[in-house]
Amino acid sequence: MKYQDDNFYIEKVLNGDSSAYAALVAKHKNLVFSIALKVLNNREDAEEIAQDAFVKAYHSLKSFEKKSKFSTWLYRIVYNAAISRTRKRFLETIPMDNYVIHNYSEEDMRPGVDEVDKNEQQVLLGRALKNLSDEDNLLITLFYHNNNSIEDISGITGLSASNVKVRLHRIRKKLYDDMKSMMVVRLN
Amino acid sequence: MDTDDMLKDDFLADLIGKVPLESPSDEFINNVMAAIGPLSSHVIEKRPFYLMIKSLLPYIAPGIIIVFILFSSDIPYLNYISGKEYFSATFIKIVQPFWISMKTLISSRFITYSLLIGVSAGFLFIIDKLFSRRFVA
Repeated sequence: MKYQDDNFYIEKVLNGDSSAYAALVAKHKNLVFSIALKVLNNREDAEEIAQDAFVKAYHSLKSFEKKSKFSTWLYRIVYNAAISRTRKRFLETIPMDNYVIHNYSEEDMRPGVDEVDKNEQQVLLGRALKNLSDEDNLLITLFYHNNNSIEDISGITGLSASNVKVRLHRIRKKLYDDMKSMMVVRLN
Repeated sequence: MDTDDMLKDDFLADLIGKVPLESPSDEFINNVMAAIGPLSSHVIEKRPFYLMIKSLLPYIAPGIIIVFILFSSDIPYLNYISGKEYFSATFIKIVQPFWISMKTLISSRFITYSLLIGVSAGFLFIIDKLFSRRFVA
């Protein structure tokens, strides 16, 4: 289903058409639920937290100042709610003293991976994603699935922008390395 | 190339985009819509005046005491406070009967001790109010 821009539904809800909120829920439910699930690792808890986040966002809609995107605001609500439920720090800040982001191009990082067919690539990626921690999975989902900017992810998770960059770079490299090593094992 | 762009790996984005996200149960939307009522309109509640005064009392009371002590003291240095003379000439005259009655009261040891305890308790109460804000709206 093709959805309108979030602001279209928000205006409708604010003008008294609360049923328009259903479209916003339908549009964002999967990512909201995925965020909760990656933090909590339990489907029932994740569903409850995701539902609470939507209800909270609805009741706070009048105070939403549109300084950020609605989705960023919503994801921050669900992320904070899930973190409160676990009562532990999820994404720890990583030391960056010795970390340098090398300006590798896509081609530098994935030699060989693009030589296998698309289905094979998808299988390799699925396995590589399973090797990632929940924290890394959340970051990669936010970045590549929803096209959130580094600043958006920083706003959602509370990590600094530079930390998000380093983490994403490291995750990206790990994904390619894992996919390559899986290819070598298959060939042998 | 900006790091933000550098991380935008089209190859990876394309592959990850094809991995379906986890989805909640089929009743999820209905549950959310059932849980939300109509959007309540903002009602700006005016705080009653007596509550405003009550919350300011811990600041006002010590302020009055400090001003009174400064204005009624005979330390020469404090003579330069503007309005002190007027204060001494008018206010002190008004409270004179009060001081005289107080003098009679504190001549009794029993009343002095009671006053000391009362004043100390009052100060403790004010300090407690100052450092632990407990507002009941």
